[in-house]
Amino acid sequence: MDSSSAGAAPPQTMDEVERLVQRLYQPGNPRVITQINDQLQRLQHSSEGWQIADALLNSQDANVRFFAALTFTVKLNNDGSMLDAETAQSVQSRLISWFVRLVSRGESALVTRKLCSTLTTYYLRSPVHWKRPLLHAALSLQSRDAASEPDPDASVNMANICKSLSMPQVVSLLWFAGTLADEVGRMENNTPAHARRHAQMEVIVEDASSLLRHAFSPVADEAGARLRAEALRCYITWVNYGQPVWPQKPDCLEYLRQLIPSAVQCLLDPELQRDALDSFRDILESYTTFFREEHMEVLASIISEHVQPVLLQALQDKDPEGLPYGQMVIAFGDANIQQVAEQPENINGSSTILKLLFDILRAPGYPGDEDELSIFSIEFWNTYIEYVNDMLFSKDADGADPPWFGYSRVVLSQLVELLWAKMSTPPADVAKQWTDAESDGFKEFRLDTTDLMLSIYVFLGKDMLQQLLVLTLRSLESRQWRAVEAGMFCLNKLADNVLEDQPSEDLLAMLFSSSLFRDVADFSQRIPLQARRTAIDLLGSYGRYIEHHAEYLPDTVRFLFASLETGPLTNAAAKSVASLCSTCRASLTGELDGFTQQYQRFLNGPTNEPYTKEKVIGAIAAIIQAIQPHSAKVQPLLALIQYVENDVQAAKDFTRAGDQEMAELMGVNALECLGSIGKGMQVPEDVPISIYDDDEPHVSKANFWDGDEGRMVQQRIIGCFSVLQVLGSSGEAIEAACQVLRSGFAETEPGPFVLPPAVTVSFLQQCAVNTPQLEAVLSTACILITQHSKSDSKRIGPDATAVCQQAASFIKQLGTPRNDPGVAASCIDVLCRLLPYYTAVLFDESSPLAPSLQTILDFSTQAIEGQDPFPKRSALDFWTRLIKPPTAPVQEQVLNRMRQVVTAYGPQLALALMRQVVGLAQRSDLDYVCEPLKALITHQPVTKAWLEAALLSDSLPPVSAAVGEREKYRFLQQIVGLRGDSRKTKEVVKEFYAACRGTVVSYGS
Amino acid sequence: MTRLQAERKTWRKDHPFGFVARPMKSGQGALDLKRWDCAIPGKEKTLWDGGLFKLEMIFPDEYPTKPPKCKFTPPLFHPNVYPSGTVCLSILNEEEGWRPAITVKQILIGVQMLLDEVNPDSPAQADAYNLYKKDRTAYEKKVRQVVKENPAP
Repeated sequence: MDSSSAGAAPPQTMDEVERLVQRLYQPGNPRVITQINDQLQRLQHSSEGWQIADALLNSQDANVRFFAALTFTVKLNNDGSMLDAETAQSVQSRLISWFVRLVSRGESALVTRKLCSTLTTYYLRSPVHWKRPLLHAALSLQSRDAASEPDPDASVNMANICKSLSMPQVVSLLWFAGTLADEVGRMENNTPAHARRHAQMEVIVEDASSLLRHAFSPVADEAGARLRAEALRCYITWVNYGQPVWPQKPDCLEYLRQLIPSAVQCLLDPELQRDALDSFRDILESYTTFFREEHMEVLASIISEHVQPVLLQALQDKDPEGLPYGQMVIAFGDANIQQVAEQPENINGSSTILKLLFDILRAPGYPGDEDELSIFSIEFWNTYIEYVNDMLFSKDADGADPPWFGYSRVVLSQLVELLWAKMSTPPADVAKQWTDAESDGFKEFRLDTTDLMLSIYVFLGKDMLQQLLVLTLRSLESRQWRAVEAGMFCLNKLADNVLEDQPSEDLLAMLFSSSLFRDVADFSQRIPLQARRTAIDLLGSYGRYIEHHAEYLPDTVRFLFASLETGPLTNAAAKSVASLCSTCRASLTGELDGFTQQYQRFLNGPTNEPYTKEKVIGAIAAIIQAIQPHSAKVQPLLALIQYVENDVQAAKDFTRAGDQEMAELMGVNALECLGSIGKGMQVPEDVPISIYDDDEPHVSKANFWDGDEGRMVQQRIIGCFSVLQVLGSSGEAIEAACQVLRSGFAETEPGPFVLPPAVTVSFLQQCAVNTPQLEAVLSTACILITQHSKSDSKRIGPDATAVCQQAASFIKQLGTPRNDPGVAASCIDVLCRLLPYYTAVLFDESSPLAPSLQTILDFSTQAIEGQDPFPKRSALDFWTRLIKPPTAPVQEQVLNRMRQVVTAYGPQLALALMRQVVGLAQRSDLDYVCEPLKALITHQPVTKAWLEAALLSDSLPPVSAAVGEREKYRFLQQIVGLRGDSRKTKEVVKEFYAACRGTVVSYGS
Repeated sequence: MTRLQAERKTWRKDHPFGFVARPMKSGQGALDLKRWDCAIPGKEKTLWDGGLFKLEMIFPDEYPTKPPKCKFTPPLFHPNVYPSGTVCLSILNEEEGWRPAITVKQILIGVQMLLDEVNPDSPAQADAYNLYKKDRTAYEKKVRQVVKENPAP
C-alpha cells in the first residue's frame, strides 16, 4: 500500500484511528508523519475527541494510550471550561476510572505521568470545582474503581488509605501530587478562577503531606527506597510551590515543614544522597527561611556526620564526585551565616562548616581546572565578610566590638593565607595544557578573590597588609617566585585602599626596601615572566608611595628600564616608566644619564616600537623638566630632540627612496615623540612655582627661553615640523603636530615648547580646506585663542584675526556646512572663541573680516537648519554668545554693530529655532536649541513678536494636527513667561516638540 | 534587601568574563552602593578586543526609576561617548530605553556592544565622530591605539 495516500485518508473506524496513532510514533517519511499528525489533531479538536480519547485508552499499545491521555488534555484545554456540570462530572469519573485501571495493570511511567498531567488539567479547567483531587484519587485506588468524590465532612483519612495501597499505587499518587504542585505553580494568579484553584491548594496540601509522610516512612527494602526517591521529588515541588504563594500562610507551610525531619533522612541514604543534596541545597540557596532553627540544626549534624567524611575524602583524591557535598556545605554556611559568624563555639553549626570551607581551599588543584569548589566557596566568603562589615559599620563608632569579632579576625586572616596560596599561578608545563576556558576560569578566580580581599581589608586593615607582606617576603627568601607573584598580585589590587591609610602605608617599607626589585631587575636570574609583569604592575599601583620615598626609586626605575628590553614586558614597563618618571621627576635627575643610555640601548634593540619609544622619551623629558636651572636642561633636551630629528631625516630619506609607508611610520612617530617630550616638559600642576627657592633670580628664569639659547632650542623644535613637507597628506601627522603645539599652550611661564602664537597661525595658514584632520588644527587654534582670553593673559589680536580670516576662507570654500560638517563645526567653534575678548575681529567695521561678516553669519544660521549635529550645536552656541551681553568690556561701536546684527538676524534666527522646535531637530539637539532661545527671551524685548511670526509662518514644517494656532499661542505664552528659566524652558520645549511630532496624544490639555 | 544590594549579589554570583563591577569605598571604608567602579573588556573578534576600559556607574537616588549614569574614566575615544566620558546609550536614557528591570550586567554588556556598534545617529563627541565618518581607516587605527593604552590584564 502506498503509505502517502493512506496518510491522507481520514480514518473511519476506531481501529483505523488506532493504526494511525501507531504510525505516528513509528519512523517514516516526515511528510507523511506530518500529514498523520494533522489528521490526528483534527480528530483531537473535533467534537468526538472525548469519545476517541476514552476509547483509545483501552488500547494494548502504550503509545496509543499516551496519545489518548494527550487528547483528553487537549480537549480539556480547549473546551474544558465550557462543559456543563454533568459532562464535566462524567469526564472526571472516566479519568479517575482509567487512572485506577491503568495503575492496577502496571501501566508504564510515561503513560501514567501523562494521565496525571491530564488529571491536573482537569483540576485547572473544569467548571466543577475539584476539592480533594488527591484524596479522591487515593480513595478510588483503594476501592479499585472511580469512587464518588469524598464528602467534605466524611471521616476518610488520607494516611489510613495510603497504608492500604500498593507501592505502585502510592508512586502514582506521588506523581499526581507532584504534577499538581508543578502545574498549578506555573499558572499565574491573576483571574478569579485561577485564584480559586490556588486557594484550594491550601486544602490539598494536607492530603499531599499525609501522602508524603507515608512515602517517607522508613521501610528498609528496595521498594522503600524507591518510594522515598519519588517522595523527595514530589516534596521539593511542593516546597517550590509554597515559596511564592504562601509567604503569609504559615499554616500551609507548616504541613511541609513538619516533613523536613523525614525528608532529610534521604541525605543519609547512599542511593538518594546526591539527589537529596541537590534538593536541599536548592532550598537553602533560594528559600532560606523555609528552614527553622531546629531544621538547621538537623542539617548541620547531617553535614557533620555524613557529608564531611565524603567531602574530605573527595578533596584528598581530587574526585569531582565531591562537588555536590562541597556545594551543600557552602550553601548551608551561606544560609546560616549569623550563627557561623557569631557562634564559633557551636561545633556543627559554625566551626565544622568553617573548617570544611577551609579544607576546600586547602585541597590541591587549580581553580578553573580541577578545583571547582574553591570558586564556588568565594560566594560564601563574600557573604561572611559582608555580614562582619555590616556589623562593623552598624555599631556605634565608640561602642565595643561584638565579642565574636576576635574570632572573625582569626578566621579571616587564615582565609587570606589560603586564598593567597590558591592564587599561585601554575608552572608553565601545567598552564600550557590548559584550554582557554580553564585559563579564563583561573583568571576569573584571581579577580573574584581580589574583590573579596578588598572587602576583607575593610575589616582587617593593616594587619592584613602586614600578613601579605610577610607571606610575600618569606616566599622571596625561599625563591618561590610563583608565591611571590601571588602576593604582589594581591598587594596590587589593594593599592588604592592601602595608600589612603597612613598606618598601612608605613608598612610598605618592608617590601620596597627588600631585594625584590633588585632581583627582578637582574635578568640573569631565572624568574617566571608573570612575576616580573606583576612587579611592573605593582610599581604602577604604588607610584604615589614611591614618589614620597625617593630612596626606593632608583632600584624600581632601573628595573623598569631593564624590562623594556624583554618583549612581553615592554609595553607595561614603558607605561610604568612614563608614570613613575613623571610623578617622581625631581628625585630622578641624578639618574638621567643612566636612563638616557638605557634608552639608547633600547632604541638599538628589537623591542623598540613607536608606542614604547613615545612613552619612554616623554618620561626622560619629565626628568629633564625637573633639572634646575633652566640652562642645564638645554643639553639633555637637545639630545632628545636629536632622536626626533634623526627620525625626521629618516622619514625624508624614505620619501626620497619612494617608500611612503615607512616615511609615514617614521615621521608620525617623530612628531608623536616630540609631543611626548613637550608633555614631559610641562610644569606639573601640583608643583608650586617658587621664585625664592631658586638659585637664579626670577627675571632671568622667566626670560631664559626668550634668550638666544632658549630660542635656539625652540628653532630646533619648530624645525621638526619640516617633516610635514613629506607627510602633508597624513592626518596622523597633522594630529601629532597639533599635539606638539598644544603641549605649550597650558604653560603659564615661558618654556621650550611655549612657541610664539605665530607658529600655530602659520601652521593653520598652510592648511587647505581638504587637509586631513583640519578639525584638529582648527581646534588647536581655538585653544590658542582661549589661552589668550583669560583676564590676565596677553592679547593676540593680530593672530586671532589671522586665524579667523583662515576660518572665514574655509567657510567661503565650503559654501554650506553640509559639505564638510566636521570642518564647518570647527570653523564656527573658532568664531565662538572670539567672544568676548576678540569681538572686534568680527564686528569692527575696520576689521579685515568686515567684508566676510555676512557670509559667516549666514553660514552659521544655515548650520542651525542643517541636519549635522555638531555644526548645529556650534552654531547654536555661537548665536547664544552673540545675543548675551558680553562678559568683558567691548568698544561702544563694536557693541552697537553686534546689536544691529542681532536685530537684523532676529526674525530669521527665531524662525530657524522654531523650525527646530516644531520637529526638525533631533530630540537630543533640543537642549542646545534652548540656549539661544533663552538668551533671546531674556535679552531681546522684541523676541515675542519674532517668535509669534515664526510660529505662524508658512515656512514652518507641517506639524501634528493636534497642534493648531491655539496650542502655538499657548506655547508662546509659556515660553516667554518663563523668562529664560533653564529647566522649565527645556521641559516646555520638549513637550511642544513631542506634540508637534505627534508622539504624545494631546498638548497642554 | 535593596535593589542595589540585590544587584551586587547577583553580579557576584554570575558575571560575564573579564568584566568588573564593584561598589566604591565611602569615606569611612564601608561600600558606597551608589557608586560603582566598573571595567568593560573589548568584545572578542572586534577592534576593541584586548582592551579593558574603566567606567564609573553612578546611581541616582531615584534608581531604579531613573537609570544610572555611566562614565568612562578617563573619557574614551568613541563617537557615542561625550567629551566628559559619559556614555550616550538609549537604554541609559530615562526618556528612551531605560526600564527599571534592566540589570547592571545588561547595562555593561550593552556598553560593550556599543563600543563596536557605533550609533551614528546620536554622536556625543566630535573627534571620534568626525574621524568615524570621514576616514574609517584612521578611526580604526586610533581605536587600536586606544586598546593598546588600555590593555586587559
